[in-house]
Amino acid sequence: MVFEDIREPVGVITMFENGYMQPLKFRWKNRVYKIERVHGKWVSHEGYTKFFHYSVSAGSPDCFELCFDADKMAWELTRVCMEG
Amino acid sequence: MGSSLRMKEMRIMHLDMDAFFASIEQRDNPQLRGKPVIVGGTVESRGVVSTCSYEARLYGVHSGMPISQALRKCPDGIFLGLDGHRYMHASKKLMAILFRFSPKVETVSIDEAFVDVTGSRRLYPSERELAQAVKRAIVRELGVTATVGIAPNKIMAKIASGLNKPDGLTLIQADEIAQKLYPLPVTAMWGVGKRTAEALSHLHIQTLGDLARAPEERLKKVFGRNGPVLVRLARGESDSPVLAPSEIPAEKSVGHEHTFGKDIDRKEILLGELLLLSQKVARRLRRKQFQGKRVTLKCRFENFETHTHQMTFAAFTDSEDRIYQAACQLFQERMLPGRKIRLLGISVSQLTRDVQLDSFSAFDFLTGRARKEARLFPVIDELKDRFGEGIIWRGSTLPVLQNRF
Repeated sequence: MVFEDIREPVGVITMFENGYMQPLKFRWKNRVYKIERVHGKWVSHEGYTKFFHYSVSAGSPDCFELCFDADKMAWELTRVCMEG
Repeated sequence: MGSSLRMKEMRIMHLDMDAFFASIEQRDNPQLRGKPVIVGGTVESRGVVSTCSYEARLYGVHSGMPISQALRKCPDGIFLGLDGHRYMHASKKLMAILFRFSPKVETVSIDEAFVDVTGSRRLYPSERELAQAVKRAIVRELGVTATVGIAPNKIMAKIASGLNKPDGLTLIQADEIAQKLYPLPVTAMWGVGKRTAEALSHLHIQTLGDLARAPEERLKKVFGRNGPVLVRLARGESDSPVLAPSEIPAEKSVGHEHTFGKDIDRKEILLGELLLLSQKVARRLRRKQFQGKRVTLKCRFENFETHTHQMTFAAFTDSEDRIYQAACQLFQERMLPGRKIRLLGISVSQLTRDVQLDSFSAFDFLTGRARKEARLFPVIDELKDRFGEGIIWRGSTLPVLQNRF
C-alpha cells in the first residue's frame, strides 16, 4: 500500500444541502472521478481558516483525500492511497 | 446521604473507544480494513505507538511501544503518523453524542469518558438498552465501535469496560462486584501499575479479591495513606462523582515535549528547541489565563536515561523569555555536554490565575521589560490565532526548523 501526498488543486462538483457539503465528482489530471462513497470527514483549522477534509472512494480500490479551503473557496487533492 | 447508600444508587458508564485512532484510519480508508494498522509514526520516525488496530495486536504490538520495536514485531504493518485534527473532530462528535444521554459527562481523554446514567437509565426499559442505544449512535454517527461498562462507581465501570473489548458491553451491579471483579488481577484497577502490583505481590496480593480482603493497616505500612484507599477501591467503595467540564479542577501543569528525528548533540539546535518549547508552553499558559512559578526541564538521552531538573521563580510568569531563560540555565548547568539527546520537554507548574504584582515583576515593570512583553505577546498570540502557528518565528529557532524539515 502506497500513500502519496499530492497537494494539487482540483475542480470538484459539490452539493450544498441543509448546512452540509458533499463532494460528488472531481477532476484530476484530465480525468473525472465520480465519488461513490465518502468514508470519513473532518475539519481542521490553520489560524482562522477552516479546512473541510473528505476521505472518498471513486470507482477503484484507491482512496482519495480531498480538502476544501473555506478561505480560498478552493479544493485540493491532498493524498492518494493506492494498492501496491 | 451515606457513601454506601449513594453508591448503591449510582450508575456510572465508562465508555472506551476501540483502538480509536486506528479505527478512524480504517473507517476513512477501506484499504486499511482488516490489516495491522499502527498509528504513532511512520517507519522512519522514532516515536511510540499511540494506538494500533486489533490486527496489529495479534503480532504483539501495543500502545507505548517504540515504533522501531513495533516494526520488528510486525514488519508488514501499516505505519501511519498521527492526524490530530481528524481524531479530535471525531472525539468532539463522540462527546456531543454522550451529552444527548446525560448532562453529566466527564472526558477522561480523547477517546474515553465517564457518563453518570443514574437518572437517564430510567428513560429506557433497561440499563442494557440504554448502553446499546449509546453504542448504536456511535456506530451510526462515527462509523467506529466503543466498549461500554456500567457499574456503581467510576473505578468499577472502568474495570467493566476493560473486560469485554472490542465492541463489548458489561453491566455490574453492586452485589456482583465480588463475583465478577474479585478474580481479576490487581492491575485491572485504575491506578495500579506494574510497580504497585509488584509491591502487592510481595504481600501475596494478586487479585482484586485479595486486595479487598487485605487488612487496611497492613497496606498502610507499605503504601502510606494510599494503602487503605486501594483496599476500599477494590471493595468497590468509591462515590467519586462524574465531573462536568466546569467542575474539573484546574490542571496542575502545562508542558510540551519533542522527540528528535535523530539524536542531537548540537547545542544551537537543542537551545533552539528549548525556545520553541518555551513559546508553546507560554502560549498555552496565556490561552488558559494561567501563570506559573516552577519550570521543569526534561531530557532523555540516547540510551533512554531520563533526567528532570526544576527551578522555581520568585514570581508567577507566563513569559516565554523567562521560561526559556530558566530552561537554558537548567540545561547548561545540569546537563553534561556532548551527550546525544533524544527528547526535550519543558513544563510549568505551581499555576495560578490570581497573579499579584510582586517586587520582582514590579522591578521588571519599572524597567519596561514586562510592559513590552505585555504588549508584544498578545499581538503574537493574535497573529498565530488568526493565521496559524507558522506565521511568525523567532530567528533563533531557525536552526531547529531547518533541522526538522
